[in-house]
Amino acid sequence: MNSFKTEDSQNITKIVLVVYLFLACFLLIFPSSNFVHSARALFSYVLYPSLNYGAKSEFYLRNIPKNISNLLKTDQENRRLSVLLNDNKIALNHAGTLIKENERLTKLLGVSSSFAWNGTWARIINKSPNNCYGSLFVDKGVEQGITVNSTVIAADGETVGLVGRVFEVYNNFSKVVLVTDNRFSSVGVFGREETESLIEGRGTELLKMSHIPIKADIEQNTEVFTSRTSILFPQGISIGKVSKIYSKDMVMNFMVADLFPTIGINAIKEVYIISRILPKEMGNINNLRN
Amino acid sequence: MKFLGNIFIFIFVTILYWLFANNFLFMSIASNILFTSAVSLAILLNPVVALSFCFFWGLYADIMGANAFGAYALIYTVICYVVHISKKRFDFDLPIPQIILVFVLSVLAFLFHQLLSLVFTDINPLQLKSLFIEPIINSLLIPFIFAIFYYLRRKLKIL
Repeated sequence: MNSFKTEDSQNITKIVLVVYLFLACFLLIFPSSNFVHSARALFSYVLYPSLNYGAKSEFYLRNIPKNISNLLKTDQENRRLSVLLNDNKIALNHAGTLIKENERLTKLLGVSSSFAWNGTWARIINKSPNNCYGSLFVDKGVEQGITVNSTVIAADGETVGLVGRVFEVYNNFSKVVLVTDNRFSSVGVFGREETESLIEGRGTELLKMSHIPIKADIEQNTEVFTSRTSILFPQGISIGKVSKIYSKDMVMNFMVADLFPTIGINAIKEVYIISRILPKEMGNINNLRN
Repeated sequence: MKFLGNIFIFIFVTILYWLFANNFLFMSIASNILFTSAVSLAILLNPVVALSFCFFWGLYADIMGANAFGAYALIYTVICYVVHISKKRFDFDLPIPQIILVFVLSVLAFLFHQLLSLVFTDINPLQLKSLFIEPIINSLLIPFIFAIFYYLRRKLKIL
């Protein structure tokens, strides 16, 4: 009984095998109609469109009606052009940014040609968000001739102002201490009589101006410059403008004022490092107080 | 119930193959889920059901492909029958025989497909990269695919 069953099962298997082989050979040998080709092309294209991108697409689209092949080719063209369009959009955005940067750098170069000092432009490579009024890093170092205590200035349009000084120098980058750093101080002068006062950073946007004589010719918007008596900074660089005078808060007959820096520290992207020959002893000074 | 289970498995594998072909390409070669599934079922199921699975999965591969229409249907059907014949002599329930079987069959299937394409469509579909890498991927895949189908058949009684 079992052997009959096995024999039946074997016969059925052989019949099924022959039927499927016949069907497969039939599909292989006889050319499919246009309708079958179109249906196959559309079906596989919908499921797996990338299949047609290869060199076989011409073969794949054979024997199908012109309108169907046009439809598929148009879709492929559309995909290709969409990718191209996106690439072009990105390139255009990049070009726009480059044009703006180029304009800005051209202006800076124009401004630097009128500088009375020799030096080099450096790009800001790092600012610490925790200490944005303290220090920053620039992309020039010992190999580019930068030395410790060099004066750092920047330009905002036609306006040029003090940014700080080089504090640490490495092979290809340097650390700059900003005028707004709360450990920074310098001598500043203002007015026709070149009255001197002490400028100090406070770790905020504004600088503190102290030791202003009571009778000094000072008012709001008075511009303060670096003094000739300053050891580190060349004279005549704008430090900032007086924003508020505290005449009632006198200490030992001196007034105190707030000073708004000439160069907004947050906006600068490049700085100009002035090359000066300082006394050898100055190279070892790392005390921020001038 | 088994019939519905079979249909579910058929559709599930076709979708899985489509997902692999579209999203999980390894060195531009989709792991041939259809092929390994066909071999697994040829080992596990009775020949009539296995032949049906193999023929229709081959047809699906033909629809998805760009070469001779019917070639994969023919190849998968022949492979299923070869496995059916040889499983009387070898124990394909073990991973090592499965790996050897799938490696040999993958290479033979490639060559057979090449022959059919040259005869019926005059184009050469063989990519050397596929010839060298796909049999290895298929061989590595087969024990896992077989284990899944084995679980579905013996434990869940779906197939």
